[in-house]
Amino acid sequence: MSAQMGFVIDLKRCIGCDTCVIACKVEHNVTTGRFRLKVLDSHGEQVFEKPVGNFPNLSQYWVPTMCHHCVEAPCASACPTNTLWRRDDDGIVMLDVDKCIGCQRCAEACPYDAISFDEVDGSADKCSACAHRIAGDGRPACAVVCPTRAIHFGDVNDPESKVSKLLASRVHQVLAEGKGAKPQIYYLEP
Amino acid sequence: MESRAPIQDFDRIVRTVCSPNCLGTCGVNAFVKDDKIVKLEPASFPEEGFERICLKGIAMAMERVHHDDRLRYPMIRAGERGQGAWRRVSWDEAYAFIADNLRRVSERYGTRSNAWYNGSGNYAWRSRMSVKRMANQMGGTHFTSGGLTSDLAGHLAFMAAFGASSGANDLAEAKGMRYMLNIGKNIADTGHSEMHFLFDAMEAGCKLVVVDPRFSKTAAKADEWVPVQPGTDTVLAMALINCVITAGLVDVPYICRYTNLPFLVRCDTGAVLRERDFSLAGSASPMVWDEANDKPVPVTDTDMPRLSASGSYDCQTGEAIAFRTAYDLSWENWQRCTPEYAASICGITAEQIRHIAHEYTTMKPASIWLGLGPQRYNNGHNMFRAFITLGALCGNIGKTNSGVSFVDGGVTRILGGGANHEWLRPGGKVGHSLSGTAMMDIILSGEPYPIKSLWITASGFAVQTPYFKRFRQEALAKLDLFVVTDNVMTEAAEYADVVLPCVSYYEDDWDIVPGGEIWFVQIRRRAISPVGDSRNDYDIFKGLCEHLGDAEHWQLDPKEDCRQILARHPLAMFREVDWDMLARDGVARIPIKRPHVPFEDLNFNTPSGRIELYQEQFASQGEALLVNKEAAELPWRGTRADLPMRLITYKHAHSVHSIHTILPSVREMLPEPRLEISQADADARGIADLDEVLVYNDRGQFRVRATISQSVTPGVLAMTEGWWRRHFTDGHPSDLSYIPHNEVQARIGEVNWAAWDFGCNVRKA
Repeated sequence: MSAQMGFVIDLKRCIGCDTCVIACKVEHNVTTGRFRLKVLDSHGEQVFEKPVGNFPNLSQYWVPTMCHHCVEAPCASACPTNTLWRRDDDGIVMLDVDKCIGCQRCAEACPYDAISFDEVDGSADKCSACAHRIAGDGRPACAVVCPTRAIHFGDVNDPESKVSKLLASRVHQVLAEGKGAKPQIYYLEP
Repeated sequence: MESRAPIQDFDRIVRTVCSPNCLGTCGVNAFVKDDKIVKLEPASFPEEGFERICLKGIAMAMERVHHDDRLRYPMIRAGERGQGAWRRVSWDEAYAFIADNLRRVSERYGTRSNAWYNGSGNYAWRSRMSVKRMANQMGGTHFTSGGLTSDLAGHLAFMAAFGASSGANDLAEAKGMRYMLNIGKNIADTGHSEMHFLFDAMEAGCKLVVVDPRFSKTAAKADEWVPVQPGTDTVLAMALINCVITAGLVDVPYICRYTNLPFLVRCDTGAVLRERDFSLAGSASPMVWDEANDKPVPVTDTDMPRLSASGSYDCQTGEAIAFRTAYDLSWENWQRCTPEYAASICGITAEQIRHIAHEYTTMKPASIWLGLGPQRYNNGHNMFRAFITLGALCGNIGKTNSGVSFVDGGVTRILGGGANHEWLRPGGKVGHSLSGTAMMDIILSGEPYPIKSLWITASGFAVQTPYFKRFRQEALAKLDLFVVTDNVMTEAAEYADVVLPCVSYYEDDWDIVPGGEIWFVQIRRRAISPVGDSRNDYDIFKGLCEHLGDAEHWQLDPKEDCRQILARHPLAMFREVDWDMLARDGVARIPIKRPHVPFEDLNFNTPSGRIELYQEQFASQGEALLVNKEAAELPWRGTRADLPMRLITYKHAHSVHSIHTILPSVREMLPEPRLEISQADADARGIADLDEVLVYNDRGQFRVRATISQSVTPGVLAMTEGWWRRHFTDGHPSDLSYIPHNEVQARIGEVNWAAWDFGCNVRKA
């Protein structure tokens, strides 16, 4: 079986500190006002978080979200120019900015609001799973900086990988499973 | 246009250290391209698990270093103070201006009338300590910063009980911990580099209970959240003590052997009875009631003192003096603080208090972690004292994965009195020291002596102290010279006569950064050239000394200086750091036994050699026994019915005090201050979500947008801290606060600024 890279994010450990958000922006020169990665609170809000429930029975968790690197990527299907495509050897969904015509059909198709539009160069932009770092230790910038060790990245098809072991030992889910895109961010229950 | 390509192109990677007052002390790799930082990543440590970085540190390296407000050159004001007109000058001209003024003040009032104060903006050793070194060199005055950071009350309680100002069990090796009773220590927000250690412990089975008036990030991660009313933690602790004693869950042999509660105390004066009180030839040894012989004996003569005893003896005037053990006297106080009584004050149930007491004593090893928030009320030392007492009664001090902890690490060992006095005294010169919390009164009154010049560095003086309104309106006119050193134009610097540009963390070379809450020392190395004409604190002072022709003791090469600071340090743990490794790798262990267990040998550096839970020295202040002395302004007592609200300005993940709130990336995550208010309080005042409101009391006010939140109870307001005056259309939260005097704190060290001890109210703007 070929490799399928995926994120496993431990919502018990995520504290919503936004360190991954800024590391991602710095790593990829993401302009102000846009994000490749966001951290949402229990209400789905990025800023001014509020707990859920009524005092004193409250809860709050945070959900880092970026490109889910779907196996059946709706963005790739919607793209008229093959800007977006799924890499066979590791399953990462790539974006070739040179081919992008700025039609934004990908952003409409994405179930995860993971694609932003760069007004400056008129093209789509999204998480690349830091594919350029795979030659290094393979960890994306968000996983490198995470203070609480909540973000893991690896081959979910390899039963010996850290991510597979986490999935085997903890209750987990993907978002918007019903859309059938087979997303590759797995969230360990908060 | 910036390239969309990922950052892969850089000239070099420099390992250095980020060191604001979060105590994270993150070793970082700065990726440098064309003398600019293009990326920051966590650097490696000799032990895996200590890699650390955060949003703030990355934003600072990317955005504060070249911020629009960055100070690049020395400047002298060209108009009235605060007018905003400046003249760029050379360092020579700045030194000449400063030196003239310092000389004039010295000649007219004496050298001690020149004063220095440093804030907590940089925990690098030479930078931080050079301020006091300069004051000593000039025979001037150094204003202490412990009380003014509002962190000191807890330290003072540790000093009084243990004879040492700090101590934390090793959170990095806490997998055996079964229970953490966390009192307002918001690790997830304010110590998030250590948070993964706590998650490790929790995954291994530790239960986390968080006591906090606000639903903090740490509370969100807890197994149980205990939302007490602000400033009532002492009552909670005393009720827990009541519960553990009533349930017979205290460790009596431990109390008898390691605390001073078996000491016999005069019922009339509260004085500890000593052998010499019984016989003229007797020693100063405290007396206890010996179990075996059933009579009073010097504590040195028995291994079996009774915890409970009473009697009387004939003093030299023939009068019969009644005595009891300190434990018996204490119990009278604790007995009154029932869970039901505490529940009525703290706003939680008596059952919850009993349940915490039960779990704390049965889920072993159990630890207590104390945050600094709960000691930000007048008499805040009693809150720490109360939990130290609870821990000691249960025999938990000096045990692995247990104990009563707050911040520890190398930094606190400097601040806690282990500082290298030789280094601080150039040529043996010693200046004067005055309390920072008394600064404004001293400047205004001229007592105990006039202060005529003030030079502050690394401080958010205008927004992080309760002083600035008074300073601007009254004290500034008393000063012949006001100098500010910083790396951006702060709102205090705007009122200075001279502003001096200081390098950022990334432009300085060779300084020592001891770990904030970890047992490592790191070295700061230069990643990029100093911006403009900026210099480090040490070199700024060195230049002045050269101008004054008295720089003989400011000539050490920075690298050699770092080596010698460690080699000559009074504490062996610093002397024994592996210098070669530190100089080569930028990081080395502080060689102490790990896991670190404070007071593991159960020897205490107190007069009795025991944990001093009874404080004879505070009898005249009514605090020989642990008592619940209430906060200064207590809404629920009706002392200020017109000011029924409490405001908590809390530390958070997005800024260390006022350092990072001016950075664009941070503001994307935290756009503005928002006042969190309960639905009930909002309804009672006709306030709707996102309305502009005024928060006010007799001293000041500020205008802010309100947000209705379940995270606070009625009576409590909460807001992120660290905002500048420019972030409010009117006023500033610090204007509402003040510094109530506290005699006990003054006697142990200095008064702690009780930053949250004020009443206030809120209305629609």
